[in-house]
Amino acid sequence: MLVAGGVLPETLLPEIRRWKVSCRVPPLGDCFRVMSITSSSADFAVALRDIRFSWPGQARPVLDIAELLIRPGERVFLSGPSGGGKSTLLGLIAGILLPERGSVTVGGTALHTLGAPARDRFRGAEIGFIFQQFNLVPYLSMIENVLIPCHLSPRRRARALQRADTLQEAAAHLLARLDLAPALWQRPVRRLSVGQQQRVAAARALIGAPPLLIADEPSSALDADSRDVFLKLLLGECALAGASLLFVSHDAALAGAFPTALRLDDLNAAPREETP
Amino acid sequence: MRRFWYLASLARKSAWNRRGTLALVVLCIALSTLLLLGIERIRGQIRENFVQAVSGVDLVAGARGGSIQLMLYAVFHLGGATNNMGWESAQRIAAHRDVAWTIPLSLGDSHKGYPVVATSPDFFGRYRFRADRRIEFTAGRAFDALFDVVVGAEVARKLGYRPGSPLVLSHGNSETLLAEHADKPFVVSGVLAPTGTPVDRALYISLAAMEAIHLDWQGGAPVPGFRVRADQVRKFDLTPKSITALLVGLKSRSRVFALQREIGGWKEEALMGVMPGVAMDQLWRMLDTGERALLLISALVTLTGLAGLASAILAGLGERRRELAILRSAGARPLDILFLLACEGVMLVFAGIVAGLLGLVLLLLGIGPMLAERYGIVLYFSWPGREECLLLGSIVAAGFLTSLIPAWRAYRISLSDGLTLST
Ligand SMILES: Nc1ncnc2c1ncn2[C@@H]1O[C@H](COP(=O)(O)OP(=O)(O)O)[C@@H](O)[C@H]1O
Ligand SMILES: [Mg+2]
Repeated sequence: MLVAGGVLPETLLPEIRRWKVSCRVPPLGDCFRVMSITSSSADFAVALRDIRFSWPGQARPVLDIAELLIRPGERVFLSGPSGGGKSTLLGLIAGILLPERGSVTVGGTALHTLGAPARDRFRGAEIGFIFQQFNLVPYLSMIENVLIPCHLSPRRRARALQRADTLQEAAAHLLARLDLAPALWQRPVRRLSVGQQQRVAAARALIGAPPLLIADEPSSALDADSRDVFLKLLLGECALAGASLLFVSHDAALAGAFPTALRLDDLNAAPREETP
Repeated sequence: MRRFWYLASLARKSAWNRRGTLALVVLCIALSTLLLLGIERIRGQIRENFVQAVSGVDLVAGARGGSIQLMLYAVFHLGGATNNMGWESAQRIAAHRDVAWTIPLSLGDSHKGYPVVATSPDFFGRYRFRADRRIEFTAGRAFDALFDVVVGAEVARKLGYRPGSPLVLSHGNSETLLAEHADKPFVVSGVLAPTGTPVDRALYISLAAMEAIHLDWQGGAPVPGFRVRADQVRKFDLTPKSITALLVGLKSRSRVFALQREIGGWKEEALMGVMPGVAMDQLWRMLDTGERALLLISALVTLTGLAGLASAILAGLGERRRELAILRSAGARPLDILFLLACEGVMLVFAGIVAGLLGLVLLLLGIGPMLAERYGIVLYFSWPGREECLLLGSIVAAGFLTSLIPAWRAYRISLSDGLTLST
């Protein structure tokens, strides 16, 4: 199994990884694993290796992943059934959860070696997060919702101010780009449609240009039309910002919109829970 | 630092957002602040009023009975009338070798609700209040003619009296026409300067005048068929037969116990001598039990308020798990969440305290005039003293500790929820 390290030429790497990533060629997996060891985790936006995670009190691990790699700027779709451990995986990448073993490297930072406060600080600075729904703090205005990361992370704030004179301006700029007209900005966020709410959440994830965006089923509560609008805007903004995107959904039909699509079941060696 | 200000502003907005639910909690805390501080303050001020009303008197002599009742009636003109003491006994005390001076006081009549005090002209020179202040006249002088009357500052102000104004006294406390001494009108001879003591609310006449207006009275009513006109009274002996109390000043304070014992032991009349300080202390001790019960009740109200605070915030946590997860996803630490929730609780406590203090000021403004009117007790504004600051501090401290309960719960939630949240 141990082929002499790095025999394949560098130029072939992306191609092979694409195979691995889309899991169309399982036999090549072993070969690929050897290859990737030779390239440093620091070169990737996200690099998980030999991850195992189980929730406290559960005998069976939820996740057992040999490797997951996302290149800088890559936009990845990850599908999997409900309860399959997608959100758990995102918790690991966001530094909320720690794996029992293995390494989690995000943007060159080895999260599993950091303490909890440092991981929280890292998440605030480097990761934008979008949830499935109820993404907004009800007592804050639209702009205030967008600016939350800027108040909790000095780096997000600094990067947001590189592109705009004030934070307000930075938020307004993003909201406008996400098709949210200024007329809506004063409206209580509860009275926005779900599609509008998700676009505000996207603006919050994008502000201060974090290198990685994580979206946990962000479109599952949307109807088909607003879902398509949302996907288009989100992908466009990520491309523009050069940010990597990890987009998770149980709805495999969305995969077509992404350059890269993965299935959690293919990555995850942990046995699925039998349904009684 | 900026982060904490931000979290504090979030706490403020969150609390404001749920103001409908939280208003009751704030109200409860306001009420308990008002009770705790109000009791403390009114107690202190009433005590001060009493203590300052009379000074330099070593003994108050009167008919044997309740010493507190005698003090309240003779000096503060409050409460029910006491038995009288004989004029002979009063003179005997005045002539005692240890006694420097005496002031006789005879009460019973009134004028438009204000008490009328018959005394000797010495009263104006001898009476001391607020440590060593003496009574002064703003107009006129002490009573001289038989039907002269000196009025206190408030009486003059309220009823518009000046030297020369005529007035008629009522018998007892009644204000009915029947019980008026209308046949013997008085003339104001002097108006006293404000003192902040019961003196302001009294009218002063001579003992002889008191005797004169009651020549044709027996008990509570005029003697039928017997009239003494005002110009005839001088033909009668106007020496009083009895008085209500005698204020006694000693040559040497060290003799006070001896004199007290002596007066108490007289065979001729059942008398007693009351040391004003001792009687006051007894009064406070009696009131203390009541005050302590009130304080206990206020403390319980405070506890209820704080329990309400904790449960209101705890109850809100369920629907705020989303919000906490959002903050966590944006880089908030679990300790930030703890701070956020604790901050919210402390803000509510502060809001309650401020509302309570405002309520207290309004209450004092509201009942102040009533207290002054009825009891001559003057409330005045003052900044919270040491005791009150301690009370406030302990409410804040208790509020902070209580806020930690929901804060700790939120901390646990945000640790276990992380970003995955079952909806
Ligand atoms: N906070 C948690 N505590 C304990 N078990 C959890 C928690 N979150 C998820 N799980 C369990 O982990 C498994 C995977 O859940 P999840 O990662 O939410 O799946 P998905 O996002 O794919 O629907 C489920 O069996 C779920 O019961
Ligand atoms: Mg999930």
